[in-house]
Amino acid sequence: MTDLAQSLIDALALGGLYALIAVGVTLIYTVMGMMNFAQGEFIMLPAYALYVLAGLPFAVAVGAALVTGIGIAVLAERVAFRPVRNADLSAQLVTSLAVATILQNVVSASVDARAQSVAAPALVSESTQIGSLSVPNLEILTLALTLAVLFGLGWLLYRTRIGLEMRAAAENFEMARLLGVRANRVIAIAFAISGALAAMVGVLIVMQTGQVSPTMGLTPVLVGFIAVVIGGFGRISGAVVGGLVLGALSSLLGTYLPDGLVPFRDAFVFSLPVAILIVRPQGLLGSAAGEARI
Amino acid sequence: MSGRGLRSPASAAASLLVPLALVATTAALGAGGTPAFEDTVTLILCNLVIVLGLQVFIGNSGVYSFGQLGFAAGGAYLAALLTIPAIFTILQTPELPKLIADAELGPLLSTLIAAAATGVLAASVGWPLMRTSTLAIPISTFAFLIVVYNVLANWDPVTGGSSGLVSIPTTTGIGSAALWSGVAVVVALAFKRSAAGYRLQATREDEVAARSIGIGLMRERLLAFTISAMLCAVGGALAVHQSGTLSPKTFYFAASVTTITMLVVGGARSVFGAVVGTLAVATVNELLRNLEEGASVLGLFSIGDTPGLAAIGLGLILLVTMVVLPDGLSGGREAGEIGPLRRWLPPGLLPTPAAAMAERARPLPVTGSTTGLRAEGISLAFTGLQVLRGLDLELHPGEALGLIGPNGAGKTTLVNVLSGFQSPDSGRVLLDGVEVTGLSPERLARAGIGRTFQAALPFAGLTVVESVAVGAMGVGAGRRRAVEIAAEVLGRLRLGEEAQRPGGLQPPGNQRLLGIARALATGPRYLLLDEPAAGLNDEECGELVAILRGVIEDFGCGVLLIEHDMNVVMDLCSRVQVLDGGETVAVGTPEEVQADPAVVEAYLGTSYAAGAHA
Amino acid sequence: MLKLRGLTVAYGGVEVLHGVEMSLDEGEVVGVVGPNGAGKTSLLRAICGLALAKAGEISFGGRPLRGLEPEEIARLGIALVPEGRQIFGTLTVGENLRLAAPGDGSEAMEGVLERLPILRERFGQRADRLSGGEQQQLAIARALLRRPRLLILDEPSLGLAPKTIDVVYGLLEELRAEGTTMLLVEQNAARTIDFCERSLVLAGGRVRASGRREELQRDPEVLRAYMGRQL
Repeated sequence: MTDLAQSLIDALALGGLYALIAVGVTLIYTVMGMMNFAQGEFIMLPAYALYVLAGLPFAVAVGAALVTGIGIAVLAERVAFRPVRNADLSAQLVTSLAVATILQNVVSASVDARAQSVAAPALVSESTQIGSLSVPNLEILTLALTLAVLFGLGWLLYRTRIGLEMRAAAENFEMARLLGVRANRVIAIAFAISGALAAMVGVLIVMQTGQVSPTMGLTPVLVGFIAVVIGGFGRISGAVVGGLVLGALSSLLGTYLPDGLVPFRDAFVFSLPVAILIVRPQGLLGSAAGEARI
Repeated sequence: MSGRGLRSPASAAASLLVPLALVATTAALGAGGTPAFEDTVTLILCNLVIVLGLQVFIGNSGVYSFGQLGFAAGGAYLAALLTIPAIFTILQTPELPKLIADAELGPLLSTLIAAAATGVLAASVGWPLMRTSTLAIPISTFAFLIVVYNVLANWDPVTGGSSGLVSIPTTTGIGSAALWSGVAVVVALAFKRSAAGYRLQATREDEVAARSIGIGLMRERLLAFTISAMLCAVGGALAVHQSGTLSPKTFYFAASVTTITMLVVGGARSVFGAVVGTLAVATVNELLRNLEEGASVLGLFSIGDTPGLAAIGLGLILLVTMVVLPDGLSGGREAGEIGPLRRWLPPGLLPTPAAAMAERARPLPVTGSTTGLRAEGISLAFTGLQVLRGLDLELHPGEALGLIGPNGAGKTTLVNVLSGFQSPDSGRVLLDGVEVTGLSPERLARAGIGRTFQAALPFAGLTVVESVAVGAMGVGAGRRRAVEIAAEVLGRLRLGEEAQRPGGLQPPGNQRLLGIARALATGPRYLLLDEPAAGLNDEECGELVAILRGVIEDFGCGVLLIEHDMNVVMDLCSRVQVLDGGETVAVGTPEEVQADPAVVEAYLGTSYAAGAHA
Repeated sequence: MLKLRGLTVAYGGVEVLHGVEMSLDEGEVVGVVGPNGAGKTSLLRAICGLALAKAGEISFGGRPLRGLEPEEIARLGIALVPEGRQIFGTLTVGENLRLAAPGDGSEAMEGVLERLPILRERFGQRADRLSGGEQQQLAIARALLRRPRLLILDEPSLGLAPKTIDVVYGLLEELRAEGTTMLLVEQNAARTIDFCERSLVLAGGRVRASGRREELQRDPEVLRAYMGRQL
């Protein structure tokens, strides 16, 4: 029973992490219609901030990581994505691929191509006793952060002016502009929030694995994409559900897969979305194709 | 393969020979250099095979698959395991099935087997992947790539795990690499110019219009996906037999980015582009790699040891290309399409005396009590609005029925229902007595329902004659037959002169005619036209009416015309049906309808109805 | 206030408007009618910055509008009630209104809710639950909240039942009485020409007829533009 509870908490924590990634990807998708390949690098660069600033107090390093995440996201939008804003989706996707490659290799060239270790603060590596369970502090932190983000985002989107503008722009960008909503501002803010979320994910991953590497963003971004797709494109709630499902699945497989198959966990996890998409091409929460196919 | 009938012989020859010449020249240069240089060039040619594989799928479908290098990896591993001597195979992959482990095949046979096996894998994996929506394919193929990597890197006893394989016989020389590159060029061009290739390109140009001429998205994509995978497998097999080692990382993310960059920079839509892009990017890549080790630039300053510089350079090139030159260096054109070689008319397009077509894509319908395209009691609500309310409509072969009514009356929605693009909430659609309610647009197109769109939906990247020929290909005609049909149709619609011009640059009147031509090429029994006269001047309208009359007489099809131009309706139609608010307001001859005060009121309002009646 | 000179608009090589001339003074209510495909919506989109003008000038209060972003034009005081209403279905009625109200705007909000009590009733409901007529009222209310100098309406009666159309036009009548400058585009010629002091008849991208209501009601060109040469 304790084992089951333990597994569930593990699953929830990983699900929370994946949900954070998925929401970051979705935010950009809803305002721009683009699936952002570079999200992985928005995760990786803040993680490297932790590595570079290893000597400083942890709080400072985390702050720097946040700034890095927001900064790189906004910069990428301004420099690389704005010029192709009106191009077709394939072009945007390939552009984000280019950005991802550049960022990955800049880090590779300026720091090192190999993984580097980063020490997490002692508190993070310990566990807390809750009843009969020993819960890693990191998982508590992840869950707390996920909840905080979801509430914060909910508050932002539903209780502030800018959130209202973002929701309107996500539904009908043109009409929003006709009402005076500034396109550039809405998109920049979506990217900034995405960058902040990515930074949080980066920090959490570093604390979990104790490592940074230039390619560490690759699997998370794929997770984000898949979570968005299985949740149903373009809906934040869908992204959260997708992230939770993927995270839970990944964690539970990790616990319960027979030993021989454990290394293939990723293969199982990433085959799931295909199965879902065949049965429900619009994703779990996506609206059914009741509209004209034209 | 040379696009007979759609290209001049000179153009087709140039499109084939120029890329082959590039390959040959590259090989010659490589053979003449140092052994190290020769190895580099050999590897570039192996890469070219992979890029050509990418071109077959990505270039023709317009959809990005990130999983093709998973097939390159699969092909490489299988070919390697088949050629590695048995003693080494036992050591590296102890649990490999004996059949493969003991095999010590030559390079050709192992490559062929690897390609075939990968083809089977691609068809199986592609079946679910291509069923996902267009947006989801890049993501699900990306997932496939990672799954392949995951399996290869972790299944140690069978694949050698993350350390990979060594002692692979280095049998790929510059000659075999060049030869296979040539084969890949031929395959890619052959596919592009085949009926299947054209159908896939139609889906790239406009999914909706493609479905309206009978093309099934998933089917066409799957075929290209499989061919693409096989080419990638060949490229992979060649590459590892040049380097002698293989690891899961060889064909993973970095290689995916490199090959996609090569394709995009050259111009994804053309084979020539794939070749040019590969050579250009590979050259820059090599230059940058040399710089990576540290070099002095013009003796002025030195760049230190910077791994990853080449990759950054590639990323920048890709970025700049997307922003500045989205169609790549080749502009998406083949070698034979640049400059003067285009100008040529397929036979049959020069004006000839009007002659009915001896053969048709489809036999004339037999007139009987059940013939006709019928809508019965069609109701449809859409985002809260009741757009169609219990509508009935009958279209008989050989007649022209005008469908008129104010904006928002439901005319286009009704046509959508008749052609399969929307399903009614209630009611039935019958095609010559057979119920076809809710069938997909492509099935209805193949059953004999053709249509055009208000927005014309041209195939901008295809020439005029190609746009029409693909209509015939969509319902199953082979390429040669399709060209004959296209020539006939274009001649009839007096678009012959424009045959080799791009569909996207035609003036609006021509674009509408082109849409009609494309639909006609499917040999429809029933033709549904959505505002064909929009944007035409009086003279053009008169021509349109004459053309449509000829079509009805010669083809015997029934034509439904949504129109706002009353002149066209009155001249052409024997019957007119008036819609307003989703219901039929009047049905009758043009004169009856025009004088009907209810009709005038629907359009203009009460004060004009009195005037019309007077 | 609004001046169009030689306006030509093209979409991808297709010219949908040729050399359109039009002017609108403050306080005027001008109609634009014509059959579908005449270019009416393209005209409005060009004014609001959503469509590129290939040639010609658009000026508003003396300021040229060509080349400005849609949100900039909106902030100059032009409010569009687009065809099909295009309210934000996933937002509530209140949120739709708040989006339009600059600054705090609670006073303006009160004013609008007074005028259209049905919106107060439905204030917390998702906008896609509203009926067509209610949505139209919401769209107009939303435009009004911006306190526009020019109110443009694109086919406000489209898809509405006759009784609802009466309600909508009643509202427009009130606005006219208060001196709101309006540009009204409709397919239903009779009602529009009757409602507006002046109207233009657009067909095939060109102005076929224009003039005061009495003139147009006698002008055979109007009927011709819609019903073809037979009549």
